[in-house]
Amino acid sequence: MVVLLAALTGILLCLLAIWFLVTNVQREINALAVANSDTTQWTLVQSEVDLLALLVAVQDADHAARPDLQDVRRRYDVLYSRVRLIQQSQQFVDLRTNPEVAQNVATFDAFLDRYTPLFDGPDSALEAAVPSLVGDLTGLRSTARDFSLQGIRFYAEDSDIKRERAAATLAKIGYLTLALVLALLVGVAILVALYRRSIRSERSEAEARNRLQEVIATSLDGIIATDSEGRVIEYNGAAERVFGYTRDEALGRDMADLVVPDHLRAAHVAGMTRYRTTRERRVVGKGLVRMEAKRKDGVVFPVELSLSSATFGGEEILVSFLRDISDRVASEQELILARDRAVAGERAKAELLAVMSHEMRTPLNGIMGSIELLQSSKMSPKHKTFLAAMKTSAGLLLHHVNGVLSMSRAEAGQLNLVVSEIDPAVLVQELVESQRHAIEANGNQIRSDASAAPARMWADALRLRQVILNLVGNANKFTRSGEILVECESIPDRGLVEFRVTDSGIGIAEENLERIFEEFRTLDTSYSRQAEGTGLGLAISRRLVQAMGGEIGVNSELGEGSLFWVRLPVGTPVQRDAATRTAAEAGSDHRAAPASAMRLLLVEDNQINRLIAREMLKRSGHHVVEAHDGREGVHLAGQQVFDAILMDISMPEMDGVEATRVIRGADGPNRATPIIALTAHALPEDSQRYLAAGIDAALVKPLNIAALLATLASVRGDAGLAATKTAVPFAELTESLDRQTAARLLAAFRGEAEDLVRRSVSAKWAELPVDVRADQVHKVAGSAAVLGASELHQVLKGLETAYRQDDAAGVAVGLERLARVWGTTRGAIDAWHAERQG
Amino acid sequence: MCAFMKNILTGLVLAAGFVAAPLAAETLPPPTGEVILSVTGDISVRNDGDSAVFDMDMLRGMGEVTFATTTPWTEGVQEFTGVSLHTLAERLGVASGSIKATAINDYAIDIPVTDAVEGGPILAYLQNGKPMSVRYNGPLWLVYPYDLNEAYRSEVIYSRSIWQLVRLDVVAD
Repeated sequence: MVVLLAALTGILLCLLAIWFLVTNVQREINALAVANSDTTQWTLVQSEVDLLALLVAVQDADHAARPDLQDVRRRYDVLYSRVRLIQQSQQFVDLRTNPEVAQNVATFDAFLDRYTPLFDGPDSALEAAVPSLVGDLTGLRSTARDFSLQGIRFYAEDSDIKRERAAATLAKIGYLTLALVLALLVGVAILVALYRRSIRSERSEAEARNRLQEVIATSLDGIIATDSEGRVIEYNGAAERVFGYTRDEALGRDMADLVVPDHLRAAHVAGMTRYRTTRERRVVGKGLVRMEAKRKDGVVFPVELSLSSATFGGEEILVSFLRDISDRVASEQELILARDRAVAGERAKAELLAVMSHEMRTPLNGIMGSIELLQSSKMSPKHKTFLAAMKTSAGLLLHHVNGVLSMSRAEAGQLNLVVSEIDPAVLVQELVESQRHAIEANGNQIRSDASAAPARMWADALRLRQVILNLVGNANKFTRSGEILVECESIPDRGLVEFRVTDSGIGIAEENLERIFEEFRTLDTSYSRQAEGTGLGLAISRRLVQAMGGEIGVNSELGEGSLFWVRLPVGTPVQRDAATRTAAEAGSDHRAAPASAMRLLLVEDNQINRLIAREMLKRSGHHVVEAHDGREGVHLAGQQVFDAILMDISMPEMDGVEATRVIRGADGPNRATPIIALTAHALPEDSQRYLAAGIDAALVKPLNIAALLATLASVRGDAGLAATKTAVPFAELTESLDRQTAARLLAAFRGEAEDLVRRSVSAKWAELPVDVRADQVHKVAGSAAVLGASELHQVLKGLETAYRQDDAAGVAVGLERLARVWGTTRGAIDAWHAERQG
Repeated sequence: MCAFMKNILTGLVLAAGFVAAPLAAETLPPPTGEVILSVTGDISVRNDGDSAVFDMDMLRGMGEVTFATTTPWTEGVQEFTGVSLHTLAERLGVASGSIKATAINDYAIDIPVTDAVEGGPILAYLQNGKPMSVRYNGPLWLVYPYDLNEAYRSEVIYSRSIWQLVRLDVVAD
């Protein structure tokens, strides 16, 4: 291109120069022509002729008697005009510069100057001057001759110069023409080269185009190219297969009409418009996008789309690569389905396990309870031995069932940790003592060392005991005539407490060290022969420890023994919450209170459980009315008044929660009677549900007498026996505060609670938003908890929950109970004041 | 003006001349002053035997044309005033042929009648507003408007620019 430009410039320059020279030479030739013109030469020669004509006329006049002066004058005038012409004419400008010529012209001029006055004068004077004029004119002839000759010579020379100059210019033109021809040749050569190159590039372009066309045609992905208006300008074979339109059908049509499903068309058009106006790219150049497309037959199917834009001949085009992914989507969905099924199966299995364990606990409950009852009856020593064996077996079975249940709960994330304050040294000591008998029976020794233990830690005592017990049990299983050491040590800088159980047993091979914590794992047949077990113990222990925020591990030498360690955080001090009372705690915290006869309704569908509970209650001196299911329970509760109702939770048709709700909601004699749930498990969300339904307390099965009686005592409320079983109200308050402060606090609380109770029955109260009511109840509940009015606190909590859940029946029950319990609590506060002041 | 148009115009003018000729023949008066130009030959209007003769007043009465131009024989721009050769030819019924012009010194040149066009040569009798004496190429000088028309800047036209003109002889083809 540059070369071509240079050639063109060269040609242009040559043409310009030639044009310039041609005009130049034209001028030269013109000048030459003028110089050579006959008129010029003629004028010069004519000056001599004119002179001679005048001379003849003058001589004629000289000879004539009557001279023709008019002719003489006219000839003079002609000569005069001739000289003037030579002096002035542009034709003679160059000539006049010749000094000799100038001299001659001056001679003529002088002649004219001398004679003109004479010629203009009178005839007589002219006539008189004729003779001298003849002489002068004769003298002037040679001058005129010289002048003509000079002119001729001058113009000849001038012509030569001009001719040479013209010739030189012509030669230059020749050279330049040659150069021009050369430049043209070069230009032609360049053009030929360019032409060849363009032919070549066109050919390779065509090849590339063909190749591209081939690629597009054979592409497995559908390719649709559109212009910026969305009209299809390219459509390949794969697209034909994918969408069902032939290429001819597709070309020129709007892509939106062609392949965009009806429900996406508006979005597509909006997207195209947005792209055209703002150039904002949402899909273009964003890689693979999953979308839906429409086939010719209207079927909508999933596609993978990759959209890119390109500028083609100044116009932007959009190229869509589309792949039918129906098969992939189908298999993905199959996979998802399979996964969902697997997960559901897993869940079903876990649920089955949980339900089975739970279901096994109910008959076990019956067996254990029966054994307990049998033990307290008179029988022979032999029978007592059998009974003890039965009890051991049943206990072991219960242990396994509990293990599986814990496992499945832990798996379901349902571990319900109850954190309490623990003295590790005491825990270790008690544990060792309780196991000493079994260990010594196995020929082993056990000792403990808790000298480095911390004074306090906060954890779930039951779970911790379960874990260490499991470790001690394992140590005992795999040790013969050896020693088992239980240690506890504080690791203060990490805030941990470490428990270690060391044995001198068979040990564990290194490769098995990790596996022993896996579920259902017993190491080999010899182990399982040697020691029975589900293989769940360590797995459960690990889950429990992890749930408590700790870790468990083992060091072992095969044949030397093992060391299991458990590290738990020391934990943070907790306040005891009266609402989360479990049977175990109740059992450990309270001794059975002396029984005062109560009228009790026992609602339990399981015959054995019903029998056991009834026996336990009757032996404690209570009067028991039995109901076989929820409906019967509700029916009986509507007929006579009870001091408390024991309600099994899982019953067919109407479960315990529902029955409680009905009793609370009906206008019967027991709508405010304390109801104690009997349940197989006590999860926090269950507690909430129970409280909301109006249940006052829950007992976890299997039942034991102590827990049952303690719970009964705690819910008895205003049954007239409070003084005998409840600790002195506000005793703690008195211990921790001085009298005056305690009195002031109690008085303030009395006012606050009194106010709430009064307002809660007013009409305005019902108009308040339910959240506000719940908040106010919550506030008083908090005060009650702080002051140790646990029963009032519990009632208020139940009421709050009922408000939060918008449970009208629960609210009604809660309000009624509030009025009742507040009466008791208020009496206690007043009694406290009276006592202290008195 | 292109040559074609010029021809058409000339044709029209000549046609008008034919029509006017018989009337003009009777109205060319005899000269009252010194005769400065005599025309002979193929003319249809005469006032002196075979000739048509003109004094200065007659020429001046035929309509003045004035233009300014440079010439090869003078210095600077000159203003010439005279009667158009075209008007003269028309007046004398000359439509074709050539005119032999002769000067005092017997210089003679043939001028084709086709030169006699409007905007063409004039028989100048004033130079820069003043009558021209013989010494200053007078009394009549056939001047072409050289500067106004490039075609007039040629050697042939220069040779036809006859001064000290005294006689015209019209020769028909």
